[in-house]
Amino acid sequence: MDRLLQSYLLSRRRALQGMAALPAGLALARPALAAPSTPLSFIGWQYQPQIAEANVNTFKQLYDENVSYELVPGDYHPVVETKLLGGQHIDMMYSEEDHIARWHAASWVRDLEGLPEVDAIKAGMFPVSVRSMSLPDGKLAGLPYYAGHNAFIYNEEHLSRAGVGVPDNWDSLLDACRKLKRDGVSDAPYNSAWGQKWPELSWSLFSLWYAEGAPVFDKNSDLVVDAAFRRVLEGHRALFKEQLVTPDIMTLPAEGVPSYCTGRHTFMVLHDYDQKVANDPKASKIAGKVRNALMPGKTHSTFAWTAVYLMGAQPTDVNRTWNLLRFFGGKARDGQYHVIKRWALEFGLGSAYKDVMSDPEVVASFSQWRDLGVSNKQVEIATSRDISKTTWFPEWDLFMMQRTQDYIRGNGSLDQLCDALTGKVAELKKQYQ
Amino acid sequence: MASISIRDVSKSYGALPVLQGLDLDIRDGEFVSFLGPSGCGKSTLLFCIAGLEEISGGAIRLDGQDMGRIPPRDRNIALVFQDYALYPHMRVRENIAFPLQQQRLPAQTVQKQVAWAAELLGLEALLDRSPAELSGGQRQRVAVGRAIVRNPAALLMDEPLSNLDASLRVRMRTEIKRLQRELGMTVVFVTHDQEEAMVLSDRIAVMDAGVLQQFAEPMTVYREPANQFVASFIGSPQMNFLPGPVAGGGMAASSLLGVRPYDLSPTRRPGPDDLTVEGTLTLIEPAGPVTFLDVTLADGSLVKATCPDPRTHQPGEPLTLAVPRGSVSVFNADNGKRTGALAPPSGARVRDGVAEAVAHRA
Amino acid sequence: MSGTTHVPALRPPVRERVTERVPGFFYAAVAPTLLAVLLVVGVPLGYSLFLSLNRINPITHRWLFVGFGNYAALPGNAELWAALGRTAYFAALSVAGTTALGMVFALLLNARFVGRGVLRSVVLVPWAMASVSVGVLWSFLFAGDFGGVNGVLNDLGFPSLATPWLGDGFRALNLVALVHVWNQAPLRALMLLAGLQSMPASLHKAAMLDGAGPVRRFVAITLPWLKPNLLFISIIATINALMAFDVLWIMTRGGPGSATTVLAWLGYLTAFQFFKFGEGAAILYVLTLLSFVLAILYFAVLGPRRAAPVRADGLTALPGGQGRHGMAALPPFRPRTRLLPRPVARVLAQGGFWAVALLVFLWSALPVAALLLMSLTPASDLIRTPASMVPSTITLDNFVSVLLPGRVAAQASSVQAQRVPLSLLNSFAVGAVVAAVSVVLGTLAGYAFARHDKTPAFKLSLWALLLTRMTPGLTLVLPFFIGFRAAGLIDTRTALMVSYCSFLLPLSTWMMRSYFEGVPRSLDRAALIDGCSRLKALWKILLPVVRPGIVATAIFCFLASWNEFLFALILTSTPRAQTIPVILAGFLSQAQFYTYGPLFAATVLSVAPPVAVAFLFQRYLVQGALSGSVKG
Repeated sequence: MDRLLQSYLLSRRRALQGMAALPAGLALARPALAAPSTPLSFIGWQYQPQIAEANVNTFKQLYDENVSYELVPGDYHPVVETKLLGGQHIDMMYSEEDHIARWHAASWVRDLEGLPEVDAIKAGMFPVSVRSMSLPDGKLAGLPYYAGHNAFIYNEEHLSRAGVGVPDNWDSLLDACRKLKRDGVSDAPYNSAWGQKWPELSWSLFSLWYAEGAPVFDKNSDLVVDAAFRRVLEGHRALFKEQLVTPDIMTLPAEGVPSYCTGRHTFMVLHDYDQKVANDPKASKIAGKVRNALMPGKTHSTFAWTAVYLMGAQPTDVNRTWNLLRFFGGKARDGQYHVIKRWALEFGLGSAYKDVMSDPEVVASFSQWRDLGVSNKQVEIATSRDISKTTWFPEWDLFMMQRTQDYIRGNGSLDQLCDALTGKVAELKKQYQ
Repeated sequence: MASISIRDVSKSYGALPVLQGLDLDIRDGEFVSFLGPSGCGKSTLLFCIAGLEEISGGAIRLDGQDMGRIPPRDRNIALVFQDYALYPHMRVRENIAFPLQQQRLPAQTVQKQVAWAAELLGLEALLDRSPAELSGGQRQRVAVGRAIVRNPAALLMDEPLSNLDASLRVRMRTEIKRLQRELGMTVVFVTHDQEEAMVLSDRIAVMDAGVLQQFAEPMTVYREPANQFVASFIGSPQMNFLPGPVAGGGMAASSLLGVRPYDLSPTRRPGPDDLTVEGTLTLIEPAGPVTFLDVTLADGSLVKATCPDPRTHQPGEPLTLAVPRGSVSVFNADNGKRTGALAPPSGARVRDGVAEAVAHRA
Repeated sequence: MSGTTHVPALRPPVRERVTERVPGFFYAAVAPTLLAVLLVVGVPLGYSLFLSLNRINPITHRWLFVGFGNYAALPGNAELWAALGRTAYFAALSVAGTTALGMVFALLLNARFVGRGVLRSVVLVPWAMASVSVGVLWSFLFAGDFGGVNGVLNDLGFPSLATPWLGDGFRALNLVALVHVWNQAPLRALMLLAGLQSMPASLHKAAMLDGAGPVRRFVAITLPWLKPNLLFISIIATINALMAFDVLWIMTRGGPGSATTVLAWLGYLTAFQFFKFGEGAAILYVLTLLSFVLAILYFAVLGPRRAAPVRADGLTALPGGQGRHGMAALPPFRPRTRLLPRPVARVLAQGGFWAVALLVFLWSALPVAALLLMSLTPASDLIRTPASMVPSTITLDNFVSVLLPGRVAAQASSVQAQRVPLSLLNSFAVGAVVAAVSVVLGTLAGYAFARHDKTPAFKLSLWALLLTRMTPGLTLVLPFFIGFRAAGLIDTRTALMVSYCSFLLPLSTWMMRSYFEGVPRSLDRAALIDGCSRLKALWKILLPVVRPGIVATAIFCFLASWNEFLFALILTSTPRAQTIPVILAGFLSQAQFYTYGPLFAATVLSVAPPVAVAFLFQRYLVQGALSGSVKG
């Protein structure tokens, strides 16, 4: 961190020194300006919060700002919603894309249209990300924290020992798993995050649905129960029934990543940045053997998301908050993507910005742990989850996860599950009119 | 019914001796009291007989059988506790029936026995009450009932009357005695009240600091106390102690004379066999049938005497008090032991003071 | 039992007439407590009750008054019935388990033996830990790949027995109940121990002489004696089990599937995840209704029979000579036949006793020892497969990263770790203040309630206080947040102090009340006659007498405050005010699993003060429970 800060401060000083128009005294006097007394409030969730805090400190120093950073342990969205409901004032907050529309409808966040440089920012991002971060009416609501997608990885050593190729559809996936288990290479060849949390089972299912070509929801926000939708669900049930997954897969800690890193499993559908961890010798026993491939399914698409920074509906000061947003979710004053690039380099978090993803440093770093050719292609054909623009989606999502878990474990029929899910959509739509 | 034999029993709590070398033989059917001040070890000895406490040395025998290895359950002894220890959640009937039920007797036998005990103790109307609904006297009877219902070899009682008020205590005393006579039970009765012990017992065991002081019939303990402790403990009001030389006749200073108040009265004409002392009347205490007189002697000590009629005396009056020499006990001042009655001045045999003492009591 | 002055006329057992005027001092003594609880809990309670009569959608800003519609809709909700069934099962397991286990502990600790104090302290440790810590510890121990239980099985040579414990739904429910029992049994044991110790020794001796063996004595004498205790314990244990939330939140989150979705979790989902506050509140108030109904049931079954007043009549004269009933023919006394010779039986009994003592020790101490071991294990060892409990090396790195984060490279440390020392400080500060305030106000109020429990006003308010304990915390969270926000107290220790005091005042009042009931009123009167004002009498004369109770109450309040999680989570937002359970929960949400090491180090640190308190003050805690529950 110090390295970055130093270099930035150095470059800043150099830039300042180069500005002959400014009196030297003023340039030197700048650090002496007191930070504004009213702090901006920034709420975030539990991902590398020490880095987030360091970034906050950098921002405070560089912009002479006053920011109070709050970390929410536990269920981020419900806790923040509780606080917002209780009237807490927040200037900038993390969010996943599925709460943007909801919080906007509740008048807790505002859109970013009309703020300086918005159009330039939008132009520099991948379209799929812009869509993720927009409201139903097309207005941009947030700046990107990072862009991710669910990737499909495999342990190449397992595959070579069992003599199977990389599966690219459900049938071959199931067959490969069965062979791996039969041959004793892995007792639970498939792994994923199947817990009842929003980034776990829901994301895993959606990415496989999209990979199989199921739209899941149509333009009218109705559930589409087609063959692809059903195939994926049946496949999940088969995986569990035939014990091709670990029996406690639904309560695995840390989204199942530690389990994968022990080398027990062969395949995994996981957040793309976790592949970096799987290939990290300090944290994984199978570092160097984990490869990514396109998602198995008819279309090989996947679910891509963008986490955002949102601006509170009544910010303390729009300009200051916009600075904060841009520092974190875009270019800082000096035109560098400090925060975003750091996430990318240190943690493998992809970005919505095209120039970040084509930055040579980023490319070199990512190439160490994943096949960029594959992942770039994957992002190109990825699908964004537009249904999450509805206000009722998070509720349906939770309901869906609960019921699907029950179904996977062998309770009820597929028809019953689909009926229940469809019925819930209708119920929620009515409720949220 | 059983005899209890206590041989050289001692008990210590760590380094603290509580019972020291006690020897007692209680006969079958006898009513024995353990009498002494608080802390003298009488209750401890009782619990040792029951088996609730272990002895450090010696042996206790019931009907000749050594109880050393036998737990309380198997000794066939009943104990009435000071706080009665009635089972609070059971009715009186069930309380009394409990010990019989432990013996797995047929229900009919149990019922019959409970009815007998209830009738014997006058509890028939109370059988369906719970202990919380009973008064002290009623509870005491229930406790006794529970104890006798199984016809134990011996009945032990740990100060059972001490929680009752005075008049009830006196009544219950009589009834306990009567019960014992009827049933012919061996009873060991612990008390600190010497009057109780005197009234109830066939023999009294007086204890002090874990040591047996005297074990004899009540009148013997009263008339011929083994030592100064027993003499001062038995008899109310307490025995007067006078220095030996008061008796004249070459009595050594190392002896003490013990004179019971009831034997000491004011007189104008003392008899030839009387010991006399002079003093001034300080206080008159009318106590119903007798009146106690507090008299200050020439050497400043205080003695108590009795007289039948308080009206005949006034405070401040000089008095001559007289006691028959045979009723005076002589104690060795060093070890407190009684050496005998006072010899008559004329050198005649020491008279047995019993008849005199009885005559003096009103 | 006390002597009466006359026979047959006895003074009635009620000492003071009910209509006696109550001095103003006592009203003043209860006022602060009642006011505090009324305001801080009563108002939010009313608000949340009001919420339950509405259907609210905060997103669409719609607010619909439906009267009892939410409640009426409940019977038709299949999910509710399923959750109810699981709740009943969980509660039954928990109450039975804690009571049975508590009984074993109490019987064990009632005996005199070398090391009794140590065992007593060890037994208390699981209870002293916060439910969050308990959840964290056990969710790791039960983890499939690398969890502690499987690790021990592997190390002992039974790899075939290693199972993903929480994978199966029914098993998960049982295991969570087991963890709950592990956490709560010591408290039940304390209460039962108090009851056992209040039993007069002569009862046991009498029963022994009457020929009853140890089992018979337990069933016929001890259990009936403990009935009032059991009543109180059952009520508290049931409320506790019905409202159990923290453990589920950490360990299973209602899963797998819906296998551990009990009513409290369903209420949480509805209110906080789906944001249907009205319906969620209605579900949670079902829990309150359940608690109430069960409490009444318990009273009916276990409650004290109304005793008729003492009458000295009824004694008939003793018959002279032979009465109607002759003595029954009793068989000659035979000592029981023994299966084994006495010395053998004795040795067996001793052996059995020590075996049980050892088991109890292991039950309480082993998981905590595992925790300690894991905190000293390098983080990478904790995720080995196959699982093993044997560390490759012992290291203090985890503690260093928690306490001295500057020394550790930023990646291996974590923000949560850095926040641990400050959060410990916060927990201390809040706990100390809450304990002090609760004790002071509770003592005053408890004294007033003890002396005037027959006055209707006092009786009513005392029961109202108890009822506040029956409301689920989840229903109060949002109103609390709104209220404190309005007062500008969000993210302050003050907010926590005020909240906790309002929860703990009923508890401290009940405890001190029981203590004061054991103090004879003649002591009050003596002090008054000697010229003290009521306050001075309380301060100078009565307080020294109830000092053990004060210490015990203070300890209870401190521990409860230290371990509280839900309100700390909602009412605080920055390390400025966050307490240690919140920080611990934060560790869990970390995406980085190699912070398990610091997680356990932080858990050990969070557990250390309550455990130390339990060790140092276990004597007081026993005495405290003595008076806290007997009178019920």
